[in-house]
Amino acid sequence: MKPLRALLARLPLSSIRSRMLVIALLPALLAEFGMVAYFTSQALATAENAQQARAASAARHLADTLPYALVSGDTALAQQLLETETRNSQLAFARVTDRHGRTLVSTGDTLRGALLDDRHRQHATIRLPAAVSRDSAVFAASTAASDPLGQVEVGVRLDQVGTFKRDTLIHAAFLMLVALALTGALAWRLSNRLAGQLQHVGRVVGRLACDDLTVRTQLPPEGEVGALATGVNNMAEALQTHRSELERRIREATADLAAKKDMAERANQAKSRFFAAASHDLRQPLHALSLFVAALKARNQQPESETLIDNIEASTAAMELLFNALLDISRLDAGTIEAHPVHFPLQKMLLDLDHQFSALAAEKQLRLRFRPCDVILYSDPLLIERILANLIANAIRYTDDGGVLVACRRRGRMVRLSVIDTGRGIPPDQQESVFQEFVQLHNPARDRSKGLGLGLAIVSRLGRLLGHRVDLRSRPGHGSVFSIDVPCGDASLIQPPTPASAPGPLPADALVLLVDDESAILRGMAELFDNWQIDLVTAHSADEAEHWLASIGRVPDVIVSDYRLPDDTDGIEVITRLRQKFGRDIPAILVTGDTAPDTILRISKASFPLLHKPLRPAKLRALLTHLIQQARAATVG
Amino acid sequence: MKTLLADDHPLMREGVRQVLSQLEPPVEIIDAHDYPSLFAQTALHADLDLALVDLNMPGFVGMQGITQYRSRFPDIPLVVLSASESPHDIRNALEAGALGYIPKAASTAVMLAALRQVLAGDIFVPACLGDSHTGLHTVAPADFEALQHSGLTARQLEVARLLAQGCANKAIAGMLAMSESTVKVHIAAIFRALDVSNRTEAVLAIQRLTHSA
Repeated sequence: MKPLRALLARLPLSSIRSRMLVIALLPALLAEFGMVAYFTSQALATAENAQQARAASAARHLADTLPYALVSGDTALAQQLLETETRNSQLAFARVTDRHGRTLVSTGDTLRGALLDDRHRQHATIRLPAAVSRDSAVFAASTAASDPLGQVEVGVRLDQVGTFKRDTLIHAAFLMLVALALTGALAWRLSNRLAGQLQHVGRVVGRLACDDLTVRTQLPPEGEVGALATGVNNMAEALQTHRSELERRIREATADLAAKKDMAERANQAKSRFFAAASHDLRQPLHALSLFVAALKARNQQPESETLIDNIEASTAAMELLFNALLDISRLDAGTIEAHPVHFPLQKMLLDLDHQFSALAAEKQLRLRFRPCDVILYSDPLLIERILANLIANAIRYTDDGGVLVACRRRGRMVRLSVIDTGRGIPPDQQESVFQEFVQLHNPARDRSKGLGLGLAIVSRLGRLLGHRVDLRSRPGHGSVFSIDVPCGDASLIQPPTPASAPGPLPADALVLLVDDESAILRGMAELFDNWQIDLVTAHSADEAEHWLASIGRVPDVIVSDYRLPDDTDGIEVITRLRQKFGRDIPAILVTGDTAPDTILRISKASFPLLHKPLRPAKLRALLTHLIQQARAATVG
Repeated sequence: MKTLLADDHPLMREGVRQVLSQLEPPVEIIDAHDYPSLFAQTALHADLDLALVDLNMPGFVGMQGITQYRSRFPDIPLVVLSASESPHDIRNALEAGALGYIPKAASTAVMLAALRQVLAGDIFVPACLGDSHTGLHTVAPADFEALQHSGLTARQLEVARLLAQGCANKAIAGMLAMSESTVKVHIAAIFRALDVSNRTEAVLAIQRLTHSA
């Protein structure tokens, strides 16, 4: 059993085909082999028996025919008989021995015949026939009726048996192979068919597993495989139905959700827009109110009213704070605030914040410190300043003793700005909610001097708008650290600040020429222009003017000249002369202290703008600005 | 002093009126409630010292009104009063020719300071615009005497000092944050005030001046 198992184990029996082949061939092999063996051996035995019988009959025949020859001593006859018989019966040999065992006659190879075993030899006793013996009185005396005369021995030819055996076996083997081949072919075909069907079902199941629910098996529903195929089809059908149902439900839910989200967003936007629109009109009275209160305060003569007025002032201030904060949040939510990131240095902002909050900190006797931060940031400076201001204000508000520290630290490509306070701290379960609107810790009485709880809400929204992470670490009783991570900037990309001369109206290299015979006036003007940071050349006369202008090699943008000048000349002449000199219609302003109508008339005929002495700086500035802008625009355009 | 106050909110006008009343010398205030009336009133009243104008009034959109007003009345200092604090608006207003920009949220004190500054011929830029250096330069006491005697302005004295130390124009420009052409103008003025005609003489004169102080 064990070797058979081992053999079976080694055969490749994983596929149906091989199994079916084995199932078909093995029993067939055994059966055919068995049958062939059985029938072959039967045939062979029969053949042998037949041969033996023939040998026996040959022997008997010889025994019957030989007595006469023996009795008569006709050995030739006996030999002839033997040979005839040998031929007829195809014997290997034949031998006649007498009563005493001596060979009388023989044919064939008796020596070889001696080697044959008993199966292939036959004996027959030669006796006198009974009738003869009875009848013959002659022999009665010398022989008993049944005394043998001798013995005949015959042997069969083996080669015939051998040939027969060989032929039989060959035929048998051939038949067996043919039978096996037919069996194998049939088994192969049947197994192919079955394997094919199962493969088909397998493929369909595979496709189903790959999410294709439209495939179906194409087998007739008969038999076990057919039942399997039908089952798979039903399963696919059910899966497909189920899935379309699911998909439909998901689509509906998504559409529903999208509609709700859309509605919510629109409502929020509408609210923000309404608020933004309303705020403009709401703000004007508020602003006016604070101006009125300031005026009232300044004007108040009665000490009793002082507290009342202070309270009114505080109320209006609180109202404005609330309003501004709400408006900011509304604008942030509506997305109307945009971030404009640039590269900028942090240090100056920290200085400004220091100025802004040092008084407030001092009031509560807190230490407000800013660690020097020589970093460049890439973000929106206005919004960052807002965030820091809110955080510092908060820190000061919620710290009773100790101080507030503002510091920065580089972390890879980011800079972490931190506002650290020694205040009351925030318990972990409230560290998220502090960033929500109107949440205030430690202010159960809603004391308005503590603000509104909107500062952090604005910080968190601004952080989100800028895409910077805002972090809080705090322990009750140990203070808090609010930090924001801002990307590092590139120092080489900092935009140069607007030039020192005032932004806006005048170009940086504007030059004004002032002609007046009074040195005091020239001196005073020089001081004024110093503050305005506009280049000024002063002169007492046209000659001086030309001289100094030549020394710096420039043409003035505007000529301002006193009308009344010594040496019989006047401002108009000066202007005309200089215009000719430089070959262009330089804008000019005349200044006069004259009030006499005919002077005024004459001047106005010359169509120069006129300013009256004493010169009012604002008017001069206004006019200068206008003329220079106009002239520059003309040259450009 | 005559001031024109233009705003479409009567309450706002009243509030600003209160502030203006604290200016010296006492102010005569003329009202306008939109751009057309602003122009009309300005045409009516000669010799206005100041026009305080709300940006968002009926009649013009954006900076148009400011630009038009400045073209028509170039010698009247215009200060914008606005609810907006956006740097964009501030810049645009100044470029359109305004000499000052006051946010409506500003306190009375800031408003007064702004108005005074503009009346002094300066330009007022609100702090939210960032870097802008307008204003007086403080003069060290030691220089005061020198100033008195030289006829130089404060800025000119700064330049003179560096000139006397032998600095080149470019260096002076860098150190005092001014353009080189401005330095040249100052030096011309210094030559004139000290009555010299070249650098060497100027250096000597300056040294004499500062050491004698």
